[in-house]
Formats: sequence, structure tokens, C-alpha cells
Amino acid sequence: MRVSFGLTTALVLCLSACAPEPAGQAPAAAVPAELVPAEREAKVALGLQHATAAQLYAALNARANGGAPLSLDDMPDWTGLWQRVGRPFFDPDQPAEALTSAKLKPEPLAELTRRRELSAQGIEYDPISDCSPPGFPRWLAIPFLREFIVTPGQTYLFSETVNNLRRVYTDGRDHPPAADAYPLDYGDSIGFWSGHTLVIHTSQVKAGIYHRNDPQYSESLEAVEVWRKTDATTVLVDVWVYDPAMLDEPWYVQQTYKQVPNPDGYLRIGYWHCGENPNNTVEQTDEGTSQFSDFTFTEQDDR
Amino acid sequence: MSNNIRCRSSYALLSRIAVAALGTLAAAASFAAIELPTEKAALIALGEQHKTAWDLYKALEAQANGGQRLNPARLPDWTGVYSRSGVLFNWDQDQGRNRMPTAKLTPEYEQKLVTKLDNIEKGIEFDNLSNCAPPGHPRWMTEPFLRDFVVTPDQTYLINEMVNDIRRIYTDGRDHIPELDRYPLWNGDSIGFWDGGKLVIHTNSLRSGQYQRTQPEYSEQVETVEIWEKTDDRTLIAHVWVYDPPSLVQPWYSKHTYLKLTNEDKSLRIHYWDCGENQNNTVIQTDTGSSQFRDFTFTDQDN
Repeated sequence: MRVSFGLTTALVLCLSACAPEPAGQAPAAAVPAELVPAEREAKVALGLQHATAAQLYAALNARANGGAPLSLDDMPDWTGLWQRVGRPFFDPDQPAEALTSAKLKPEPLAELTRRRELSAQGIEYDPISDCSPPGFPRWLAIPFLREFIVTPGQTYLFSETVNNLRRVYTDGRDHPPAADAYPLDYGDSIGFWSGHTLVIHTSQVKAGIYHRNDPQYSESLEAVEVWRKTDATTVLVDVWVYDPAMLDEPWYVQQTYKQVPNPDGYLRIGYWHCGENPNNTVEQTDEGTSQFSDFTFTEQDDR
Repeated sequence: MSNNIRCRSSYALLSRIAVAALGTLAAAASFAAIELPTEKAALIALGEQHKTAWDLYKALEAQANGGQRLNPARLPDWTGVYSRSGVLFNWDQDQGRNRMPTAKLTPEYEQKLVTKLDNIEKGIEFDNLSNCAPPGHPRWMTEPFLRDFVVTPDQTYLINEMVNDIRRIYTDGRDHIPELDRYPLWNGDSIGFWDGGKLVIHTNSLRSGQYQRTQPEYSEQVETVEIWEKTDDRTLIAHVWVYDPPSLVQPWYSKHTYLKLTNEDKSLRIHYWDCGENQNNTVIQTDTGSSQFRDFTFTDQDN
């Protein structure tokens, strides 16, 4: 074995000496320097240039020359534990005084306005109080720990809340045929890699809300996401949401996930059993607010 | 022949030799030091040679010279969608149609099991899973439905579709959580090491539970050692030794088989499991120990 190791070392050294100079050579898989523009306004405009999420996805795919499968020799390192940063709105950059940065159609705009008024009076109901999953795209905005598990053919995007696991297929498969497609909590996600940038298209989602104080979305929602690690502790995601039933134009937002320090490795994600919280089940009352089922606060609790 | 061409020819030749040499080395590295006996009696005896699961794990680790970190460029291929094979509710497949399992139970836990089986025969049964609780480990091994196994250099994810049940196996050299910080978890705390293509796991910090609906209970002292290995293109085997002094008079060895499902068109995809969307939940345990659907009445038409 020692001889083999010595031989191999010599070969590697020789190969290094003879290896062609990288300067002036085109890389094996040409990757555009920037798949998407840097400025927010240009990203908003990019969404507007395409009528559907599928068209934007196809355009990005063409720009990336079809993308290139990941190789185990050159994997993006997205290991570790992560957490979303920013305000608790789907668009963390929306102005503090704004109702939303989405360009809503009149009906969802009226619904959001009414819901925010009720919320200000303490009348609020959120399906996740009763252990329902947040669903996609709300998944992007919820708190608690996350993991991003990259493998060549599939990327797993995990959020600790109710053990949400999105599967993004990057093995070249397409979405299920339309005849077999039905709404899912996290939809169906396919993607491709352009260098270490992951581009995702998601369809087949269930209707829901973007966040507790955010608009509703419909089952016709589709989204394009562009994921990339920008430094050792930051993963950025550009998101374009298309929902013709609710939005007058695509809604662009950027999500930021920061790596959580874990030098001793003691921070570990355990199973999230939502139902073991004795306050559940939470029910929506006729008034539209939340009530714990079979649960009465005692005088001591009220103090 | 120009120097450039000569160098390119040498490069091509040496590349082939280097690849062959590196392949030989990689193959050598994939040899496992741990050689398990093939006979079940010997596997049972291996468990009995060690007083605790931790002792067995450390013995295996010593046998494997501490194991090896996986080569990121040559990961075991455990991709695909799997399902457990065998008799659904037997922890040990060799139980067959026998009423009692192969475990050597303590008198207290044997009596508990007899009482449970007697009640089941009378239709009196309650299973926490009916109310969306997770099965927990080691019961996790026996659950039906789909599974996928995600191998990364420092962490392996063992995923069961049911209630989005993910076990995390840390193979980056970290130890268990210090004793003072431990508390019972649904899937416990799992550390492991690789020995060639074998993944060896030690799990502690577990909650009490039952191995399956018609199987014995286990206590919070339960600890396990597992050895996972892919034995052919579509078969993953897990050898499991369970140690639980309050319930077992000797370690309980069993073998679990997971078979890869045919998925040529890749239409089989695992989705989020929202247990609560089943309208029959919530299921409540009655005073007699049986199950009752809450707020649910069968109509004459149902009958």
C-alpha cells in the first residue's frame, strides 16, 4: 500500500507539472458570471419581463446553458444550521409603514386590509397554531432552525418547524404531468445548478398566506427561486412569485439565512412534535379569532 | 513532436494510470474492518458479549480503528425511495406468526405485553400514532410507508415519510450531548462512524415507547447499536441490537430490510405528511384503554 501511495503521489505531482494552464481556457461548463442582476430594481424588472414563473425559469435555464449537474468532486458547502433573518413579513425589506410590497388585486387587498384591522384588535387565527404546515412559499419566511442538504441529484431544504422538508429534484426530471398534478403543501420543485447557484421552479401548491400579517395566495401560485451562498455564513435567496389570481404583477423578495454558530456541535435539531403542546388543539371561532380547545385559563394563569 | 503535444500525451496517459491507481486505493479504503458473522446466533452472541450498547459500539469502533470519514467524492449510493420489507408489525421477522416476540423480556414487561395482547384480542387498543404522535426510535425501524436515506460526509439522514420523521446521524466525530444536558427525545441522539460501506450508529437519550402495536414496550433507558449496509443495488440491511435493562434480560438482536422501490419515471415523490388533515383525528384514549375519535359520530349511512 505504501508503494501505491508513493506511486500515486508521484503521478499527481507529475500531472500537476504537466497540467494545462487554466488561464485562457474556457471552463468545462460555462457558467454565466451573474445569473440574475445585482440590484433589486433590476430583479423586479426581470420578473416583469416574463409572463409566468415557468417562462422565467426557462429563461434562466437558457442563460445557464441548461445548467450542469453537481459533481461530488465540487459540491457547494451548505452544511450547518441556519436561521432566517429579517422582519416577520414575506418581504423582509418592505417599508415599516407599508401594508405589503406586493401588487395585489383589489379583492386580496381588501381581505388583507380587513385582516390587519382585526389583528390590531387581537382577532387573529393562523392555521399553524393547530399544527398545520406553513406550506410553500410561506416556508421561506418562518423562523427556527434550518438545514440545506445538497446532494448531486436532489437538494433537501429543511425547516425545523413541524419538520418541513422540501425536496428539490435536480436530476433532470420534470414536474408530474398535468393530469397527475394536485395541490401539495410544498408543491413540486424541480431545479438545476449553474455553478454553485441553485435555480428552482415550484408549482402545485395549496392556497395559503405568505405570513401571519401578509396576503393570501391561491393554488395558481408558482415561484422561481435562485439560491446561492454569498459568504461563509450567508445564504441568499431571490424569489419571484407569480399568482395571477391574486397578484397584478410578480412579487420579488429576497430572503437571507445566516449560519448559526455551533462550535461544540451541541446544537442539534430534534423531532418537532407540534401536538405535544397541551395548548393545542387551537380552533378558529365564529368571530375569526383563536381559541384553545378544552382549555381554560385558571385565575392563577390570569395573574 | 512539440513540447506542448508531448506534455498533453503524457498528461492523458498519466491521467489514466492515476485514475486506475486512485481507484485501487479507493477500493482498498472501502474494505470494512468489521466483519459480522452471518448466523443469527452469532449476532445475538455478539450483543451478549457486551454489557451495554455503548460497550458494543466502542468495541466495533476499536475494531474499525475508529472508522473513516467518508470521502466526499466517493459517497455510498443510498439514493432512491425505499420501503421496509417483511411482516409489518413484527420487530423481529423471525417471530413469524407466534404470539410472543423473540425478545427475552423481564417479567414485568412480559406481563405488560401479555395484558396488551389480551386487550387487543378484545378490541381494546390505543396507539399514540393514531393521534399524530411520532413513533420514536427504535419503533422508527418498523414503520411502513416510504423512506429515503441521505448520505453526506459528516451526517447521514434517515428519513421516514410518516409524520416527516427524520433521524440525524452525526458522523463528524462529535460525541453525544453531555449527560447533564440530556433529556429524552423522540428519536434520541445518534452518533456514528463509517467503516467502509458500513454505517455504525449508537443512539441514546430516548423516550419510552413500544416497538410496534403488538410488540413489547421499552423504557427511557433503551439504547441501540445499528449497523447499516447496502448489500445489493436495491437492498439496505440494518442489524440492530437493543439494550434496555428494565425490559430486556439480554440485548435484543434483529435484522431489518429496506427495499428500493421501482421508480423508473421518477413519478414517485415523497411529500409532506400532514397527519392532522385526516378528519378522524383527534383520537383519544378512553378510560377502558381503547380508542375513540373525538367529536366524530358515525351516521346510520356509515354503519
